[in-house]
Order: sequence, then structure tokens, then C-alpha cells
Amino acid sequence: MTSWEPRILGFLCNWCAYAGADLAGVSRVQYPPNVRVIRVMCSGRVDPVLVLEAFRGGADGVAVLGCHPGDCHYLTGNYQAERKMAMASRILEEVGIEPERLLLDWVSAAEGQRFGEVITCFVGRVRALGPLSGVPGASERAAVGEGIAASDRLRWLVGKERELVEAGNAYGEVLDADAFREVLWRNISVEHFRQRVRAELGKGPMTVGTIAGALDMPPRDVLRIIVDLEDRGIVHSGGMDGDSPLYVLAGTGGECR
Amino acid sequence: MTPDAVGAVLVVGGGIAGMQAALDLANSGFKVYLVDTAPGIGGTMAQLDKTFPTNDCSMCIMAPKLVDVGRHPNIELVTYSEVEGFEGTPGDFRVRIRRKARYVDPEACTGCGVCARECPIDAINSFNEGMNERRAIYLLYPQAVPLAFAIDRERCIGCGLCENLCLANAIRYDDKDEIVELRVGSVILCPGFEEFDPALKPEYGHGRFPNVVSSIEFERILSASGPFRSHVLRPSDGVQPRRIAWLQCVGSRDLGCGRDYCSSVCCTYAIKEAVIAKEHVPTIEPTIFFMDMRTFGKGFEAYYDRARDEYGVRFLRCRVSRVEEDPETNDLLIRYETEDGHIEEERFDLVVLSVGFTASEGARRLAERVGVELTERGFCAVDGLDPVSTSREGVFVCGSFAGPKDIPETVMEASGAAARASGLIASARDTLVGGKALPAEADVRGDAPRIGVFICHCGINIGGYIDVPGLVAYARGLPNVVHAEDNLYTCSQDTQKRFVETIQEHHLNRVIVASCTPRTHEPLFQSTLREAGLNAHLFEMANIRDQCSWVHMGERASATAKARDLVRMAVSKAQIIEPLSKVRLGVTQSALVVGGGLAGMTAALAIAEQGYDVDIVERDSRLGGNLNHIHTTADGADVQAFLRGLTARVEADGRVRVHTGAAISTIEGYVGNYRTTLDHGGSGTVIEHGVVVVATGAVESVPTEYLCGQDPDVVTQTDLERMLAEGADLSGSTLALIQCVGSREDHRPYCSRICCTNAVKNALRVVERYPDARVFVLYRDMRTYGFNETLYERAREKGVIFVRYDLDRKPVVARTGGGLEVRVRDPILGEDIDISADRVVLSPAIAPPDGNEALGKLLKVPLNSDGFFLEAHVKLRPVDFSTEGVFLAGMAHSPKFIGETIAQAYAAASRACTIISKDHFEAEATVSAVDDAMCVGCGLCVAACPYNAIELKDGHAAVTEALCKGCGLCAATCRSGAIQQKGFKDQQILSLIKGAICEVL
Repeated sequence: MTSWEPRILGFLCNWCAYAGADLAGVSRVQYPPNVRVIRVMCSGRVDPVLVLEAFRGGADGVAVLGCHPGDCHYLTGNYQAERKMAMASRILEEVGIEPERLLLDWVSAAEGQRFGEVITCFVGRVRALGPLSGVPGASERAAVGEGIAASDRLRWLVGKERELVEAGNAYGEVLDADAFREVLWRNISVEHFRQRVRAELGKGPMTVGTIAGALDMPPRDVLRIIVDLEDRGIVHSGGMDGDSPLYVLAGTGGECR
Repeated sequence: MTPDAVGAVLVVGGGIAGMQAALDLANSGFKVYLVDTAPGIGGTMAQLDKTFPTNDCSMCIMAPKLVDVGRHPNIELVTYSEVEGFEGTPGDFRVRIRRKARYVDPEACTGCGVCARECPIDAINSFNEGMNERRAIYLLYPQAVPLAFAIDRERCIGCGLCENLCLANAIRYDDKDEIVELRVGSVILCPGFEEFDPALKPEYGHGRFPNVVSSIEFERILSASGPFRSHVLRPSDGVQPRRIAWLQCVGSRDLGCGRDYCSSVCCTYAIKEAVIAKEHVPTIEPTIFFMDMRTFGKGFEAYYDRARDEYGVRFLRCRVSRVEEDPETNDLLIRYETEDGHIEEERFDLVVLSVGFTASEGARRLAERVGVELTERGFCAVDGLDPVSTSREGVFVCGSFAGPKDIPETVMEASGAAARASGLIASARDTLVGGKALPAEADVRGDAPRIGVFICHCGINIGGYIDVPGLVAYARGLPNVVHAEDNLYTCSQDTQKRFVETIQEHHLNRVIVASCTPRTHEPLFQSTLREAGLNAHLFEMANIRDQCSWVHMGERASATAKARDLVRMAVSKAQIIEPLSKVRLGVTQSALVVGGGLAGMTAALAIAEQGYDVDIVERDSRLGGNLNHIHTTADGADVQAFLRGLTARVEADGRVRVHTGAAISTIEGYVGNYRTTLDHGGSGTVIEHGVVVVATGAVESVPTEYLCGQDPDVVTQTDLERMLAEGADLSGSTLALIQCVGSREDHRPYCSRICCTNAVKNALRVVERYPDARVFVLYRDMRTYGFNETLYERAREKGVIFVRYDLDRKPVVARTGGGLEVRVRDPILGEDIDISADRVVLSPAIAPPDGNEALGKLLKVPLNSDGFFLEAHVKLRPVDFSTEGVFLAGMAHSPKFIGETIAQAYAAASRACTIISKDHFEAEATVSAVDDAMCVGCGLCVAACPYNAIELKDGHAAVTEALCKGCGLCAATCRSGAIQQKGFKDQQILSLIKGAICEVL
């Protein structure tokens, strides 16, 4: 018997899930005391960055609960939540944190009993996964994930997803949902790569070779990322190490810090 | 308008109709007394599990309205009360009301529920239709408003336990009935209906066989808060049923039991119950036994199609003779006669009787006391051309008291009745309302946080399961907490008084209450903050009851630890919360009405009656729209005379300006501040207005089948109407009327709603005027809903012959030497019949007009897939758009009758006046705001916003605060963090995350 208890954050929408949680109380539905609730007006307000931040801070699980599809108080908010959480889940997988630690589900204002069931079930699931601290370097992984979730490219793509696969793109073509997800997932991997390179550079000026060695990546791929980061003004070269240029994160000032 | 009127309205009946009417009136500057005989408001809708055709959770969509009504400063709830006496004249009525002894002081009761948990006496739970038990002291349902218990005196034995347990001292065993006198200017009656008592149809076995339930009982069975907690179970043995039958028209369309009318909603609610049951338990096999499938409302036909094709609901057109029980298994045997005359028998596990609407006894008593006439069927008597008026001037009606109807129609009528009731007393607007004066808000910006934490015991509800004194001590140690205390009930009036003093004494500039849920109590505490001179948003709540002590009752240590975390989270956020204010925007107090038909003219006159200017834009050269082609109503009223009167009133009204032959070229602005440019023949007029009413109507489609347009004797229903008006001689002739021409087909899947009744109306006029004429009506389902059913009945008595046809065997019309030949398959005989007709009369579909799409784009409001305008919410906001300040009336919404159009036009006027009756508009406080320095103008937030509240201006996103609803979707979507939702900023949510995870802040 271990004394560890999962620490879980719950983001509940004001109109359905939060009301359902209140009804669970009124109905005295008993469920495990592991969840700390943050009330948001809409499940679609839950930014993937916030989810990753919760994991970075040490949450063992995050539950995002909204209105059932079609019931959203804000018309489309829960559909937006669905896509954002799909991305958050994929990012977790990418950085090596079990995506099962993130739950997106729907609870109506009349489903007090169901709220208790959803929570009981999820607490059990997280308990089975064990503490997040069991994942080596969990906090750092989540921090990298947070960087991925904050990337403007991904945010653009996930923000546009519904429009592109349901209404159509700039050419009036409706994109295939699965194909679009592939694009999104590929971008998550690329962004992950970029974040790792950035994180590595955060330790100080480095050559492509050093980074490649540290990250166990082909130098060719690292170079491509460095060039791209240089283009965006995130990285600049700062001196040489023998024949190889040293790269520095912009804003860290290299030698001054 | 009545001079010297009293600026208050009495609304009798607290169901969805009463709530909607009360909110509209209260938001337009009138005092409202909302009376209900039950101890809480909510009515029938509160009992429903889901609502058709969207399958929305009934409580989810209703609860926000319940809360709004409960806390509205202009609405006074008078529950558990009945009208006893009524006198006076329009504009000044005196009402005597008996407030029944409740034995619980609703002001003192905190709704905590300890009394009901401990009460030793059981009573029948009428809210769950008697399928389980409640206690002698009870709350109507968990979300009830007011949140106050009542004692059922018939059951209570006076044992005294609740009084001993109630720490709020709310029990009053010596309570007595009390007579209250009210003065009001006008009255709205909406006492609702009763379900037909299925015991009056003993052949169906309700009350004898446990597994025969009524539809409302089944609704409770489906409900998560129902007797079986949403498990679909048979009452006899608690086993999940597989085969469930719905029997339609129980107590409807049945003169045998005194109900000759159709109840209008049962077909669609049966479909809903079947679909929801199947969603609960996919193995359920639902069968609906029906005569005609009457899915005539907006979106209902598609709902029917989906139920059949996607959910596999079986529809069986037949008559059920009786239900027998197999006593061994409690299974039920249904004997029925198929359309072609075979007798069959089938076994079911559960039978649901789709009971109809009947007039309620309470409503009859009310009508008698108020002095309004009832029909022979016991419903409130109304004139088809004046749908929300009763026989007594100044007394209005809405909802099912005037006849069976669904929720959206009820809501429309409620707003419509509000428009009429307030129009009468418009001179008294704002005379009886107005909040109390509040002290100025202290400017706390830049001050270090001084946080006060108030922790509620809620009697024993929190204190019994959590270490509250320990929690107070813990709170004192958190950063910037300068005061912490515990209260027996933080919400009680005496605590609230001390609350103000404590805030001032300790110079608190942030306040946290750890108690119940912000959903019910935040407004109360916020108003106390305002009384203490603090901004209402310098407040946080920690929900340590509903989401902590009540759900971890046996785990004191972990519940206390969780409560500590919840308080710490609130303190963490309190460090960085800011005062917020609602942005006030000026409002141009006038309206633009697009469309000069019945809906447009009616809405314009109703708005003008309230004292505001209106511009009507009509693209045709004359007013009247479709009304120009209609001569009589189903009741026989003269429509042309009515139209002449209406047009004359519009033209004579000094507040209404009419622009015929005009089109809209541009509309700029937003709620309260629109600027529209009209184009009439090249010249442009600019109109400034605060709201828009869309009343663009619909058109009769042009049929392309049955020789229409090729043969002069193939005409439309409108042609027949004109011929009858012009006195065409039809004696001795044979007419074949064909229904659903272009409706309910793949290319136009909706039902046009009005054609069945129109055809029956005209058929009757033909046979009544020319007894030797022969009329055949070829139909798919006869949808003469409501009281129109009696026309159908009369037409059959008078010899009109009705022949049903199926879509896959449509009638065939051919021109032969002798005349027109119509061949149709008679499903009863099972063979083709040939009709030699002099004329074929088609009922073409009602279609949306050209131009809806362009107008929709101008106003940024959507159309549905059928091309009609799409309202904000099909159930509860049927005349609003999701874009604030734009409203909808008449056939622009969907096909409908004259009376329905008038009611909806009044409703649009009422909704419009909630905005233009004030010189300013208050936006939400928790709106989004853009940091221009960070925003690159990518437009992602524009796409994320469901309310068109964001647009790109000069390379940046700009929020129109008047339109923002504060959902925060934009903030979660923004690429760069440039857009933030006030009160829910990233940093603020992060502070909650930190508070939840980090022991040390």
C-alpha cells in the first residue's frame, strides 16, 4: 500500500460540467477526493499550454470536462475543445508522457451521477499509471511540450482545423480530416525537435555536432533546424569552435548571462 | 397605451412561459410578480430529460434562465401561492393572492437539505411522477428556484426533528396562509396544462399493468435525476427492457374521451424518447404505433428521418385496440389493426403511452377568478388573429393554457404576451424598478492585496465533514490574507450585514468565500461587495460544499486537505484579480424591420406602441407580403379586412416610417448602434437604429410536377383560395387536392406545416358551399395539428375523401379526352383508384425567398440547411440570433400560420425592447481584450469567435465588447497570447494551477 495519491486538475465548463459536479454534491454522489477543479466559462477556453503547464507543475492527471456535443452554451466551444485536447494529447505522447493522463469528456448539468463515475474512473486510470514523477524528466518533458503547444504554427493549424475539414480552405476545398491530422502530427514532431534543440542551446553556445551528439539526432537534421531558427531570429551564430560555428539563443546574450 | 398605468405586471405560472415573459418585462423596465402554485418555478420543462429536435439536456438549457429569474432585481417570486381575487381596469388591476403556509421561511432557508435527509416521513415524489419517494419536507427538484424547502403538511406528522436540526432556524410550524394584495397594470396567464390521465383509457392498462407507463413517467425514467438515475428499467422487475412500444394519441384525436384535438407535440416527443432510450441502451428496439406522423415543426421532419434511418426506430401505422399483460412475465401484448385491415399481436417489455395535453383544473379556477373565457375544451379562448389576448382587456395569455404547443412556440408566445402586456403600460416604464444606491467603488489598483477569507460551515453541511476551524487557521497563514473567519451560514442576512462591516474594518480589497457553488451564490456575495464599496469582481469562491464536503463525506482528512487546496487556489488567484467593469455603450432607441408583411408590420406596431421609432423596409411596392394572397383563416376570419386594418394602422402611426420598393445596400455597426443605407431606385437613405428585426417571410414554391404550368386546370392552393374568394362556381365538379408537393422529399426535406390545414380549410369551403362537389385529398400524413384537427374531422363528416399515399407511389396526373385523370394507390384497399377530376389542386412547399443569403451575410447571421434563418437556440431563443441585437419573426424562421406569425412578431418586438428601452447597453464584464503590441492580425480569433464579436481593423484584432459573451475561446486559440479574457487571463488560470499544485505559493 503506497501513500501516493494522484493529484488531478479538472477544468470544468461553467454551464454543464461544473453544474453536473454541483449536482453530484446535491445528490451526495461519493467519488475520490483527488481532483482540484478550475472553473472556466467554456471547455474551449482550455489552452493546451495550460494543460502542459499543469503537468510541468506536477499534476498526475488533467481532466477537461465540457457540455455534450451540440449542447455547448457558446455554440461551438466544445468542438474547439475537442481539437485542442486532441493536440494536447498528441503532444504528451510526443514528449513521452502517457496521453492517458489527459481526459476530455462531456458531463451535462443533469448528470451528477455520471460526473462521479467519470471522476472515479479517471482517478483509477491515473492511479494505475502511477505518479508522473515516475516518468524520467517528466517536468522537463512537459516544459518542452508546453513550448510545442505555444508554437504559433501549431496554434494556427489547430485553430483552423474545423474550418478546413468542415467548411473548406482558401480554395474552397474541404480537406480530408485524417490527412489534416497527419499534417498536424508531423508538425508536432518537427516542433518537438525544434524545442529540444532550443532547450539544448539554452545550456550555452554549441555547435551542430555537439547538439546532434547530445540529442542523438543526425547532424543534418539539426543543421536544418538551426538554420530555420536563425531565419526566425531565435538563434544566431556567435563565434567558432574550430571549424564549426557556435550557435547562441537570441536574447540570452551568450557571454553576458 | 394607458396613462397613469401601474408599471408592474402579474405573471401567473412559473414554467418556461412565465419565466421568459418575466425576464423580458423585467429587462424592459417593469416590475414583475411571478406567481406559481408550486413551491418552486420551472414547470413541466424542469421534468423533461432532453428536448427535441436537438436532444439538448433540458435542465442544462433551463438552469441559466432559472438563475436569472431568481436573482433579477425587478422580479419578485411569489411561490406556493394562488390568485384568489381580481378586480380593476386595464392599467390598474388589484390582485388578491393566497400565499400558502410553507412552514419554512424561504428567506432563512439556505437550501442545505439536512432536514430532508433526516426527515422520517416519506411522501410520494410528484416531480418524479410518483415513481419514487421524497420526504415530508422537500425541495421540488435539486436546481429549484427559490432554493428553499417546504413542508408537505398533509404528510408531515410534526415530529419536530427538522426544527431541531435546522441551524438556520428556518422551520415555522406556526406558519399560516397569508393574503397578499398586489397592484399591477397588466396580467399574463400561463398556468400550463395537465397530462391526460391514461386511466381514462382503461384498455391500455395504465395503473393496472406496472410496465405500462405514461410518456412523462418515461421522461423521468430517462432523466439522470429521475427515479432510476437514467437507467432504463421496467418498473415491475428493474430489468432493462428490450422491446419498447410507444402508443400515440392517448387522449388526443379521440372524441370518445372528450379530446377531439391533436396535442401537437406527442409525435416528436415519442421520437425523442425512442432515440434517447436507444442512446442509453443500444439493444433497445423501439416501435412507435401511430396514425399520422405529425412532425411539422422546424427541423422535426429531419429528426423523424434520422430516427428511422439512423437509429432504427420502427414506425407502425395502425390502430391499437388494446394492451394485455402476460401475468407470468409482466410482458405486454399489443393487439393492433394494420392499415390494410389485418389484426396482429405483438409482445413488448415496456409500453409507453404518449399522453396528450388537457386543460388543467387549476387553470380553470384561475380563469374563473380573473374573468377570462375558456373554450368548450377548457383552454383559454383566443382569437386566431390576436393570439396572446384573452377575452378580458389587459389580461394576456401564453403557452399551453391557450392550447397544446411545444417549447419554442411557448417561448415565442411568452415574449409576445410580454410585448402586449408592457405595451399597454408603456407610459409607466421604469416607475417601479431601479436598484438601491450603492457607494462609490474604492480604487484599489496598485494597492497591495489585503485578502479576507470567509469560510462557511453551512450548518453541518461543511462543518460536519471538514475541519473548518483548521481551515480558517490555514487560510490565515496564506500570503496577503489579513483576515479569516468562519460563519455558520455565510449567506445568511445577518452574516452579510457583518460582512460589509468586516470588509471596511479590515480594509479588505479582495474577498474569498469558501462555501457552496458560485453558480447560485456568487451574485449574492458580489452584491455585498458592492455594498461595501468594492468592485464585484474582487471576489473569488472556493466550492468546498457541493464539490468537496458533500462528495467526500466519509473522508474527513482528505476532504479537509482538498478544501485547503481549494482555498489556496482562490488565494493564489486573488493576488492578481482586478476590478472589472461592464462597458456601457450608447443605444439608438429605435428599430429597423426588414420586411413589410404580416410579421414586419405587426412587430413594427408593437415596437411603436412601446414608444420607439421604427423603420420598415419592404422590397415590394406595397405592404402585406403573403397576406395579400390569403382570404380566410381556418376559423373563417376575413384576412383581407384584417390586412386593410393593419396597413392603415401602420400608415397612420407617427412612429413608423415605411420604405417600400427599397432594398438594403449596407448595414454597419452592432447592437445598439446600427447604420443602414437603403437603396430605393438609386437614391440612398441612411437610417440609424439600435436593433434589427428580420421578417423577410417565405414564398410558395413553383411545382414542376403533376402537369403544373402545363395544364390550366392544375392549380395551386393559393389559386383555389382566390377562386373561392372571387366566387367561382364549383358546383358539381370534382377536385383532387395533392399534398406535399415539393415538401418532405430529398431536395426539400422539411414539412411546410400549413398545407394540410389549408387544404382541409379549402376543401371544407368547397363542399359546404357546393354540396354536390366532390373533393379528394391525397396526403402522406394528415398534419392538422392542435385544434385544426377538428376541421379535418368535420371535412370527413362532410364527405371529403382522404386517400393516403406513400412517397414511393406518388399520385399520377394525366390529361385524357374526358379531363384530368388522377391515379393513386389506396393503401387500405391495396389497389389503385382512378379519380376523374375537373381540377387538380396542388399544395406546393413553402420556400425561403431569394435574398435570405445576402441579408444573412450583411447581418452576419446564419441560415439553416433549408435556407431559413437559424435562430440562436431552437428551444429557448426562437426569435433571437446569436448575434446580439438582431431578431427574427414570421416565415423567415420557418413556415407558419397567421396567428403563429403574429405571436412571433410580438415576441421579436419584446426582445427588441429589452435593448432599446434603455439608453445604454451593458456588455459582459468578462469580455476579451487585445494587446495591439502583441497582435499580428492573423485573424485566428475571428474564426474562433462564435458571436462575430471580433474583426480585423488596421492590422489588429478588435473586440466589439457589446457582442462578446465571455467564453474565452479566442484566448485559448490566439497564436501569441495577444488576446486575453478578463477575469480568466492566462496568468490568472496559471495562478489557479499553481495554487492547486504547489503547497507554498
